Amino acid sequence: MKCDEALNIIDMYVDECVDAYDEKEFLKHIETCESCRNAYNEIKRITSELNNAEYLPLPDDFHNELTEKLIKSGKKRNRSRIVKYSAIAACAVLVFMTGAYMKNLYYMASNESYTESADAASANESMSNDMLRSANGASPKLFADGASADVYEGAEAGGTGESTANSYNDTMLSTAEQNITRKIIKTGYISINVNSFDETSQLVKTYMEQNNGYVERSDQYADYDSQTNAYKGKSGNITVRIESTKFSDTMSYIETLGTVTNQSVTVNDITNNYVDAQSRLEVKEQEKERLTELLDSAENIGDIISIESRLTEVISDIESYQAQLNSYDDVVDYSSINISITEKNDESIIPAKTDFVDKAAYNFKNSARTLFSGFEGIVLLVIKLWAPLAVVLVVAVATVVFIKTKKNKK
Amino acid sequence: MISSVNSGLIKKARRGDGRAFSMLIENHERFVFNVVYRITGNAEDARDVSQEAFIKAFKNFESYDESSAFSTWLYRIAVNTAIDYIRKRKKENSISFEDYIVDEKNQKGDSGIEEKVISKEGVKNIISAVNMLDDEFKTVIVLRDMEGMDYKEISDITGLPLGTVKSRLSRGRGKLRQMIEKFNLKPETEGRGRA
Repeated sequence: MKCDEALNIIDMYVDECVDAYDEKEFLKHIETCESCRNAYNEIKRITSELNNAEYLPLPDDFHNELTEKLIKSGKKRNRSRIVKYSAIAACAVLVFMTGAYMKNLYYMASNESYTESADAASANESMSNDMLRSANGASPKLFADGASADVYEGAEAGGTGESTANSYNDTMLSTAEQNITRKIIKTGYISINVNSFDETSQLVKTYMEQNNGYVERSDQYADYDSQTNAYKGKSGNITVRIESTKFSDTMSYIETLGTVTNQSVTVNDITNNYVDAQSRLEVKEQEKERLTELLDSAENIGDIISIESRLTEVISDIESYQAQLNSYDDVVDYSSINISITEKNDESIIPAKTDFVDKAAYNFKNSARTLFSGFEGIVLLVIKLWAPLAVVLVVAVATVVFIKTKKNKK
Repeated sequence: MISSVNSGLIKKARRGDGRAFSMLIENHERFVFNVVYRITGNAEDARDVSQEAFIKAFKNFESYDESSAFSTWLYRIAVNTAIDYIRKRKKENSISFEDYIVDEKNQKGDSGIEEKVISKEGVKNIISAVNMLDDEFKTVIVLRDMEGMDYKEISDITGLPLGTVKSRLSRGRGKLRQMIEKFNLKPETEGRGRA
């Protein structure tokens, strides 16, 4: 073995990593070569000295300090995880909602016979129902306090429901200060899609009988498709009158009979007209009294005739004002609700039953349907946007591969 | 690999339980502290840097895939953290080893350790000479000659190929020999054992 080779394997020999042959040759070489022997001894000395280096003890409290730091950073990590998962959940919800929205857009475009208001209602079915309910929740209070001006509630679409409810609150505040018994006419309009027209109209009639209300008018007709002339079902309108104190309850009840596609409440304050008619009536009553007194004391036939003719006019006026007040009382005490019922062969319509189990089953099915509709929407969206999505996918995959290779190189 | 006794702790630690992780690493604390101390050359720095390494390991515990030994994985993080630290320290302060290098003005931008002007009091023994080595040599010398790891373990921890480990070790020892000659370092007295 030459010096070059020996020097090359000194370290490996020191580390006991050479094979038997090299070992033998190496030992033979350093026996004769002084410089290589010195090199070997020096390295041997270095390694043994380094190997004997003392281990420092851990600084005081090292473990406790570290444990505390770890616990702290662990908590932070958990918190950041919660944030991360919340963000993911929020994104998922957003994606589903977008999916559902896209699905409805798609549906709208493909089905022209679908009316606009029905679309709006079904686009956010559950949402708009909630809105309606909350708007209704506000209305009984309003009616109890009395309104100062005409208030119109338009809850055709879920989106406008909220602002309407807000304007209600404002009205409530302004009217709460007034303590006059106000005369208010409430009129409700509600359109619902149902599975069976007959069943629903029967339920409405029964409800009215039970609640001292009555059906004022009802009509029905058969629906045919304008293009195919196919029979679509029965539709009709029912106008009911109900005590104004039961107005909100009745509206809520009707909502449960089917899928609400359109709903509005008109509140008309006729206090001024009423007070006006009342005071005119009083004036006429006084005039009647005076005329009666005059008639009693009249001696001349000409006077009697002219007083009687005036008295007849006054009595006629009184009757007319009285009739007006009666009709005011009637519309104030009894509210009208116009119900427009459309029969639709659609599973998404709430069955015209109101017990809890049915409602629960409906809501369960509806929720599942919404989820599915979200999936469907996503699929449609993906199909619609396949080209840009493909580009995004390629870029994303390329980025991930790039980052991974970079990491591996590191 | 980690023993089955620890698998419960591992699960907890992966979920972000700092106390569980602290129990997992308790037996490695002294070793990691000392490796970091030998690379950084300063006990106070070693305390901070080794704790930083443990926290780094904890935060990245999810990425530990159990393909290598837990200790190897842990030491790799410790060694890298320590090397990062001394590189940063060097950048911030050109008199990196102020304990050893006193006359910086006379040194003229040479990277080789043998050319550096080093105060003799600084390099009192071979251990202090190791501190003067460049990072790449110091790491393998510390792991092999001071911690007694074999080439394969060193290769796993540093991520260097076996051949590179061997050559760096050889060159590192060569540099130590030059320093011993230059400063005429006497052998340490016998009888000191590893704790």
